[in-house]
Amino acid sequence: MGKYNEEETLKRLQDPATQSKAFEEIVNHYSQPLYWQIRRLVIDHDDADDVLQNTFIKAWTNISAFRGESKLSTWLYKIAYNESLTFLNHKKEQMSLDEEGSMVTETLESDTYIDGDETQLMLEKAIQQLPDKQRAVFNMKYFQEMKYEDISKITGTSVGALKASFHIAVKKIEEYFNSHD
Amino acid sequence: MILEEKKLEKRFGKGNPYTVPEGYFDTLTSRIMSNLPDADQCKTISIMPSRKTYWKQWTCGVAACIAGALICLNVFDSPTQPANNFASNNTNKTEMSAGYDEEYQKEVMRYAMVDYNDVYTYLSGTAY
Repeated sequence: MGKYNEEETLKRLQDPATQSKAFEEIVNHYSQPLYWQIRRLVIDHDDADDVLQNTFIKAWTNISAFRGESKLSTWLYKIAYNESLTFLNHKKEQMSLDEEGSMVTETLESDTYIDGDETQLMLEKAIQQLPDKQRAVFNMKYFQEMKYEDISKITGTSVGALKASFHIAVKKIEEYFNSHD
Repeated sequence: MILEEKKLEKRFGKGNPYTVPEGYFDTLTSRIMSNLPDADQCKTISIMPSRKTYWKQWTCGVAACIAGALICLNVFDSPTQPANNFASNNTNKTEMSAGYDEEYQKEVMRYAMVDYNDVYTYLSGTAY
């Protein structure tokens, strides 16, 4: 597949004859970054794979809702963010609070597709203690190094509230380490 | 970057402890594409207004301008009443003006080939 040109791809997305091919280019370009955003939230690889599939199905069936007013990446990240939170909420409904806490720790320790050193795993455990939305904000800012303005468009939260949320998240992580050192 | 974030980065870095099955990303695009519903279930996007939309907007605008101009001309060109007749004519004028204005507006709109809806749409800026 050639070099991705978003402007050209969006033009071809308007033509039913080239729509499918154009969408394939979008999938090819965005599937990896979206996967990692989802994976850091849902942890398990198979769950992340399911949520990613749903994200693109939703984008494809609602492509008419994309008016070109925001960046395509922002629109896709927003769908992925919402799909991840919906998935996590459904999962929580199916288990008790105790099960929920232990499940995250167990997944981090036993998942075949987690291969970090002890320090990285420790950070992941600390991040998993945060509420879902705060965790998503922390991941987007710390790991994906997104701008607050972009995170604001994805999450629908004001920049000021995001800065406060990130600051509190960092404090909570620090406290987690202080209590586990 | 805030101080606490710098400390975190210094201590833990920004490494990714997660991995994926071998070759996962190689087949990901084709797997996602094969799971998509048929194209007829999604609508074609329209990022910019179409030519048809521009034409409709332009026509509405011109028609509303003509209608507006003709209504204004009617207001300013109405014959001046003599001062001594004002009191006696005032009642009749008030009674008649509502019906007369409406009739005149309808005639203007017929001439400009627009209806109230077109004028309202243009003035409220909701024309696409």
